[in-house]
Amino acid sequence: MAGASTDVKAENPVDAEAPNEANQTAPMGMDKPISPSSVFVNSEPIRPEQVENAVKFLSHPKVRGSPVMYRRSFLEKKGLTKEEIDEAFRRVPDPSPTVQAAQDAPAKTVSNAQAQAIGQVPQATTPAPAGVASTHVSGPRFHWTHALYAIGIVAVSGAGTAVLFKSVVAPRLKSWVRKITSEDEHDVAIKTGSKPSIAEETAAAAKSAADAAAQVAKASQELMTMSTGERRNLRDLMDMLDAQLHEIRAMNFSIRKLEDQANISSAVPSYIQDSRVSSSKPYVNGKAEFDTLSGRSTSPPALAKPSVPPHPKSYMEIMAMVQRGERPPNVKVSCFFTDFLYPYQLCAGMVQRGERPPNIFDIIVPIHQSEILCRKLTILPQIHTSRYQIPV
Amino acid sequence: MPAFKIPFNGYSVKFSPFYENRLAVATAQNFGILGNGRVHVLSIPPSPGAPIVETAAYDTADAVYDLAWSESHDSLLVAAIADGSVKVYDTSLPPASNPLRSLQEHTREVHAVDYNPSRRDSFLTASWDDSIKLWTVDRPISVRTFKEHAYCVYAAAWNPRHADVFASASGDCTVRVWDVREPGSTMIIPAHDFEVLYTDWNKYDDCILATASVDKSIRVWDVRSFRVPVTVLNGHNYAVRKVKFSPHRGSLMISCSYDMTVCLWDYMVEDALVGRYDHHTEFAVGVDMSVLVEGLLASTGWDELVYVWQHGTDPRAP
Repeated sequence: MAGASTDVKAENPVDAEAPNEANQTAPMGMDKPISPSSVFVNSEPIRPEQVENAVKFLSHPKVRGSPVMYRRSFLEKKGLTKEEIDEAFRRVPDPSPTVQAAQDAPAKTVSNAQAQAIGQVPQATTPAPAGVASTHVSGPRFHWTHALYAIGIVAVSGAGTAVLFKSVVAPRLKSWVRKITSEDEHDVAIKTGSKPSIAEETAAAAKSAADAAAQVAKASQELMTMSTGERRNLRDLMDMLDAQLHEIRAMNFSIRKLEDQANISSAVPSYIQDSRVSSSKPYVNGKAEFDTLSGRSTSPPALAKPSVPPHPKSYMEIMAMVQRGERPPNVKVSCFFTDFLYPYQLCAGMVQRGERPPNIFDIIVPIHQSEILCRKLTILPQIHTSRYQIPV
Repeated sequence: MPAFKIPFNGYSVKFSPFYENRLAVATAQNFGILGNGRVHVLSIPPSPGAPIVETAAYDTADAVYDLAWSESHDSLLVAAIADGSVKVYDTSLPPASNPLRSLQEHTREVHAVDYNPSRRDSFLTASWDDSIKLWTVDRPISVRTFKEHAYCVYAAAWNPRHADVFASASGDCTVRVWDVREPGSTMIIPAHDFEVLYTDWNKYDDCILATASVDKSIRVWDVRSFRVPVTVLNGHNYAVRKVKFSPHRGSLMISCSYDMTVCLWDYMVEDALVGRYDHHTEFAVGVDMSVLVEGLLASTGWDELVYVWQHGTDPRAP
């Protein structure tokens, strides 16, 4: 079903394009066409300057690495009509991941112009894009990202047998992090030499992080067959998990520190970085907290303008119970067993893609097999909650 | 009349289009996070002093986020359940034969359901799986799926005059206008900078719609010139959860918000806020205006209370 939904998504924009365009000029050949004068159809002509802006946006290399859905959604939020978006997509062919370096040279020069054209008043949660937008090296970045992804996928696929490495890996991780942070000053001087070593080290770090994720996956399997007597183990496990998350976070932070000093763009997927490049709202609302360098809030995130309303105290108690894995006492009719593993799948997925693991409350919804997106299933929008059920 | 106490947290209220004294309430245990749900059917007493009485209640395995009365059968109602199912109940049948039908197609929580007031045979469900589905009561599978939004769809609303047109509000900050005869949306309105939680059409002007958003404002839009809102209504202190147009006065709207108030607005007037009710002690998440009795309002919230009162009176008066 997940696969089918993607196809529908991909088809819809294409299907909608033809009848809508025809609608502008003449009734189309459908069984019951809307009259051309229907007020519920957008009858504005295509605005060339908006299409230009969209083309510049789509040509940006960081945008090209992002999912198509996010690019469309971003342009829709900017107020472009379907026709304008389709026209822009037509002009900028959808690239494969191995884009030639030739395209990056003109992309670099337009990135500054694009930052002005598309950019709006910077939100409070997104820092100035200037440093990130103008300086990136494209060749090593692709190579590096590929290495990272490939190793992450290989490591996670061997998840079932890699549990024992944790006791070995963690001390190595810590010492590696210490080594990296103490090497700051040397990296600038030996820029060229350091690039491959950074790639190697990051790959190694990703591998160890993936091992940690493997252990997490194993833990999640145990969870499924858990009896009431093992709830204490669950709590210990969650503490261990938190500790590992801290390690991963520290590692990621030091990677980014390195990158900025060595002038290499980070491994954060482009659609997240776009929140800084275009200095406007990120694609999915609530992703504002993904701006990693500004730190992350462990409590409900603060989007720029709306303030977080105070929760009822009992609500927070329920959330705490659910987070601990306990079932609130008054649930009696049997619930479906769904979604319980999502927070753990989430950690594994995020680490696999080299992203910072988000708030434990977020839930992943697999959109299609090759991509896992983080979805904040907000019962209260702007307030992160988790929704999962446990068996009676 | 006194408030009705419900065992779970309220999520939505709807007056019946057939009986002026009938009301349905969608509720969820544990604030809708985890647990069961219940659909209540209440009877409003004729005399103001008498209490509200429950005539039916249906338990569900998961939270009930919304419900809609059928426009064709006076005892049918459709409930949107958090496990992705849509359940059809018939209040004239004994509890053992309810729900009449359970339609399981959405892959995530169904957040809203709206019945077509013109065609009377179909309804829409809006879900967190980014899609909207069109159903008819007699068919066990959906007729159409509308999948274009990039994030959860929080509401779908039929246009009161055009039987095939509806609008949807989504967490991707856009409102889309659709036509059932078209394969995709016909209009994309970038309504707010934050998530849009609800949308409703003006019952007297078929081109006007209102949107409620996380950014604490309500915006009124004209689809003929949708780049700029007709008006922006500020006054709530937190996210606005629902906004509904009055069936009796063209420019009157009611809204409920996380600031625990229910507000009445007249967007044609300079000072738009015409009423404010502070009766809830938790988030006010459900509100409705009766079609059959002018000025009759109902609201519910997470404080586990359902209020029914006449506009201008105190909701808490016994």
